[in-house]
Amino acid sequence: MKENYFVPIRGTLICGILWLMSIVAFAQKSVSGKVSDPKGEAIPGASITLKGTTTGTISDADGNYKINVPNSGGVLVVSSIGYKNQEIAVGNQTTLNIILESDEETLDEVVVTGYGTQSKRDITGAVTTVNAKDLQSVPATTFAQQLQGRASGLSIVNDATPGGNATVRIRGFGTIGNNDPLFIIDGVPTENQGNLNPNDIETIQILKDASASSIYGSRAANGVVIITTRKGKIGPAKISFSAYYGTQKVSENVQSLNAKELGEYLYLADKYADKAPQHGQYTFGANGEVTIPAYVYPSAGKEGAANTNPALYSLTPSNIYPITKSADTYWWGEVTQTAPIQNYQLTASGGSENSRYALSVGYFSQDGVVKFIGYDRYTLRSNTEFSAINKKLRIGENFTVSFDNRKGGFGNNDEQNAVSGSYKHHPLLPIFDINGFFAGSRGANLGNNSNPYATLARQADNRRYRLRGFGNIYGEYDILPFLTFKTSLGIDITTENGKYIGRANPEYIEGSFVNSSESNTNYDYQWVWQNTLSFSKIFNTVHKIDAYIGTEAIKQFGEYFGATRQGYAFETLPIISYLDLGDPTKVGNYGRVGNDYSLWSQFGKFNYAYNDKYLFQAIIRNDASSRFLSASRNALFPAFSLGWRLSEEKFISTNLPFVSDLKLRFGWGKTGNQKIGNYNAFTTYRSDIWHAGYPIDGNQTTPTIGYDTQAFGNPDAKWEATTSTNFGIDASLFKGKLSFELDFWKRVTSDMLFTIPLTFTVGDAAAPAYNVGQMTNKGLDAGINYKSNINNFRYSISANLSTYRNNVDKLDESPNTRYLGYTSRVPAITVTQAGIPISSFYGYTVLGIFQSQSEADAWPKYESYNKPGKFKMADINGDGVIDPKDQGVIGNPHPDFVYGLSLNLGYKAFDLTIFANGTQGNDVFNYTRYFSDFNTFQGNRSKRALYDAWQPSNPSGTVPIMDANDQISSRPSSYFIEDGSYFRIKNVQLTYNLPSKITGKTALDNAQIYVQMQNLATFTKYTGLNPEIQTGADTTLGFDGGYMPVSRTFIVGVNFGF
Amino acid sequence: MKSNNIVKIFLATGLTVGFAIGCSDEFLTREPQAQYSPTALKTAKGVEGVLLGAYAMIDGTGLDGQDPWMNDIHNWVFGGVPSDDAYKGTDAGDQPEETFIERWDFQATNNHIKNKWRGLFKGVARTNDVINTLKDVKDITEARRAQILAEAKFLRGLFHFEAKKCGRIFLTLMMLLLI
Repeated sequence: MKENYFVPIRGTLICGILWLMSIVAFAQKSVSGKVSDPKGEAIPGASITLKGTTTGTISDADGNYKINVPNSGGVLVVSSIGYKNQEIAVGNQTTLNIILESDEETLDEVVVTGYGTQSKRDITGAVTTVNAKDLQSVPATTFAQQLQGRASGLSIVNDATPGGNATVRIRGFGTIGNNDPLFIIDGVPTENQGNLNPNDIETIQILKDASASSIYGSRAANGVVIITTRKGKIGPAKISFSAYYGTQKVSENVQSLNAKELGEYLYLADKYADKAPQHGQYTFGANGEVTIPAYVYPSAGKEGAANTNPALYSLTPSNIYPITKSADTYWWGEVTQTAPIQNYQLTASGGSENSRYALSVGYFSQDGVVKFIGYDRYTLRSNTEFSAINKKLRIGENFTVSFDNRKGGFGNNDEQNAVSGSYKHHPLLPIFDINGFFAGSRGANLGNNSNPYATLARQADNRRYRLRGFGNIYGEYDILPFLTFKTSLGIDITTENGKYIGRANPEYIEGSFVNSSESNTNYDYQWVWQNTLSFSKIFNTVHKIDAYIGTEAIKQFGEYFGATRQGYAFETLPIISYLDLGDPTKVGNYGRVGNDYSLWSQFGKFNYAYNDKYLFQAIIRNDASSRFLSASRNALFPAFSLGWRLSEEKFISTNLPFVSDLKLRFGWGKTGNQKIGNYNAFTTYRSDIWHAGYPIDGNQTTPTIGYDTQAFGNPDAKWEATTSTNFGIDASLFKGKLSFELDFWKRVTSDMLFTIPLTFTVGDAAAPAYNVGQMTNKGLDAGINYKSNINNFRYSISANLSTYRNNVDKLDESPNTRYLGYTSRVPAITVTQAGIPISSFYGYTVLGIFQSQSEADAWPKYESYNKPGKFKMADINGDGVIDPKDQGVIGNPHPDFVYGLSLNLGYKAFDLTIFANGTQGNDVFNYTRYFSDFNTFQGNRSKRALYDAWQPSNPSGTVPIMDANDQISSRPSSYFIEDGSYFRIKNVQLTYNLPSKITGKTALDNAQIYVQMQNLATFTKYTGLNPEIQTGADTTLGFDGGYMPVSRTFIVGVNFGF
Repeated sequence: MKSNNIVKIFLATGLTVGFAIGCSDEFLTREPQAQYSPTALKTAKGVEGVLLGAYAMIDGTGLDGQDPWMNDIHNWVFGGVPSDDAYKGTDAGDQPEETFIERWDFQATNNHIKNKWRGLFKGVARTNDVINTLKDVKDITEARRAQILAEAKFLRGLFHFEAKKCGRIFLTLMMLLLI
């Protein structure tokens, strides 16, 4: 059918063109000239068009252009990115040199929103742009870390471990499930921000409210972060090289007791518990004098005694006798080090009239400030675009391959990690025993913590390799000047390979002689296919209409596979890295599916602008997800927004001439969320030894395996929808010197997908998500920016502030339903319940410490606990007795507000940048105090536990009296809640731009050299190592179970352009 | 030229509309991978497996997120420790909840007690699962059917007996119907 149409079309086309050409050829003249900037430098790639026609050209590398103009004259429209457009009438001249003014106003900037681009002037939603220069001034592993404090409405919590991802939250916590925003990189959506090279990024736009982000409806409920990577610009090839090298050191130190102080603490703990002070290692004098033994294994061993004879040393399965000398070890000092961080990047970019390209290669490496861990990343990126048929057809690709390697083992919030271990491991223990093997705590009363140095050293050979290919290939065709069709196929493929070596740890009191090796692999792929048809036309010069419709299909699938073996004869790397040489009768393996879902959507967007003054936008999107059954699979997400550019109105432009731009915005929209399990609708069973194995035949070694319910299904689940309303003001005053933006917003999440706690009588399996809850967030985002200069001195200040208030309106039909957060050794300390913010802290309220026995007796009875030196717990319900009913909400992990501050000063060739950020008003539950302040486990205590403890001689103590039998003081209470507010000077950088006098003599085009200090100072009252707590689950926020602190880093770097 | 434009517009919208209705329902249907569905178990072999799963609840392991000793049939936490048989030992901070059980101080927030109930009722639910699945199994001998039913009922009785030892139990309507 198509063939028949083409023949007559081609014919008329050719005739038409010839006819046009003939007319044009007879009545034209050629105009040429040079386009340059006020300094006289040529502007290549400037666009010169004849107004009202499609005749146009581009200036070449020297800024020269040549264009045909009718003899009767015409108007040339000259434009170039970064410069103000100019219109010049051509009279009789044939040579016309054009000087373009630099564009101070950033409002002509084009930003990516949705599946196309929009001029910043026309945006009616709440969108914040962060440009690459601001991002790159903070050296960081991931771009999310670089975003911290740069934009209002964003809350970023960093993971300080090398290669760790930052948690990004936009405008609070919208749901009880997953609150991650959607990341769109060059148009390809992904939920995984890992291992993308931040140096490849050109700009980032953050879509904060539904009227902007609902075009991505299906996964946009938590906001959208749009990342655009560097493409080439028209002009000769530019090669640039940048590198930096720095050293990192921990900025905070653990305050733990030394060996003698711990002895004093233990003496007092026994004395106040009315026990005769006695310890397996220390010898106590009559007045509390502490004597440290020569050996800790055998317990309290003496030098020269028969049982400490080195010939008796043995560490074999049949005879464990690891003689160990005593020591006075400061564990934090032993596990931390000064570590390097470095980055090298080489970029080549350029373009011509019909093509542009950008190629970059990068290497990043960061060693951990905790020993034996590190991270490396290699990336390659290629972005190209080609155009043909008079630029009507454009084909391009953006692709990056990155390979990263996470070395060693460290998990935040792990009871046995290096940070927790430094609080807990006994100071009497050395790192090595008398024969140079790692020393453990097998002696009496030394605790059951593992040697943190040994744990790190044994895991030093663990590796997690990850290879990720990400990008898209697209084709665009201008069917008509105002109608464009675009198709784009994006992929995101990750494969990971992990190697985990479990070395024998017989010195550890809960260890063994068994060694093991685990090798696992997983892969995950996502493909995205988008098609859009867009329309853009201006009618009668005042009516501007932009619209597009499109479709998107997404599929994601991933699989895991792993195997382990035990019983290696040797633990050397060539042997234990691979499974073959392990004992084939001690094998474990597993294989399962990870991601498995698909999405299918149709969407449309309509923009109308009247004379740049009245703006209107409407979006509608229909999504279907495989996570819901067909009856509830589809959902419709509409949105609209309005804008009014007050600065174009006469009454503003005449009365307030200093206002360059003033715009009011209002937006309303719905976005969706479907982050639940892939098989939520199905009831399923599993079959494995642990859940369903039983030796029904009496077998002594192998059970028979049955079936067990794995998950209950909810076939009626449907999309969760967030409705958001936003009112905003953008203003730019004094020709762009001062600009500010202010947004008031509210987000209500309804039909919130929530895995409700099941009643035990239905049995036990993973509960499905039901649409039962509702959550409201409201807040305010503000940003202000001022820049100016006085002769050669230039300065600019910008600040942003965001606040949000979160409230769980309801979880399900009952107002008393509670969802408890993470529980470890203590009962859950966070609770999510109707009427309070998500993940509020829960426990007893401590009012003070009893000073005397009479005070303790007068207080409501709390079992047999009340005594001088113990906590005075509040009787919340006033029933005269302290019991579990007196637990209540004791803290709020959400900040009152977060802010960022940036100061740039420049004088001639020097630039100084200072960037600081902070949060105010958030609480943190310092779980490390459970071990360090109370007599819970045998191990070390904090300095606070000895010196700040209440004693009759120290009545102003804030820590309860030491008591060997006390199990109640350590219950979750407001004692653990600390103020996590902090102000951190995150970055100070001094840059020197080499003058052109020097660079002119070399091959360099420009060069910069800089020094930088990161995390220079943190001002906080928090006593833990790092007030910035990131957790995996949003129902357990602000829980510090042992997090790596931030490092103070000193960096030197260079940037060269050729 | 005008017909040109119209034809082009037609093509463009036609292609887009084609894409819009092109994708079928099959693209959006998923079957759980690496897991069994309930229908797979309605066979002779399947119901034997479900019965084994019910037996597996006796030893206390098999419940995600809780320690096996909170629920195992040896009852060292609920029997041995509160009586004179065993002393909890170790440090004050190691499993403090067991010290409270030892002193007969039963708190509403004690996880051991909550998890004991959870494990026992999971056992009951699994035996009910056997009894319900057995109704839909066709290819099984009458003798084996009676045997499986008897074993399931015995196990259910055992779990309820354990629960009764701990306190009041909650008789569900379904259980009443099945008796």
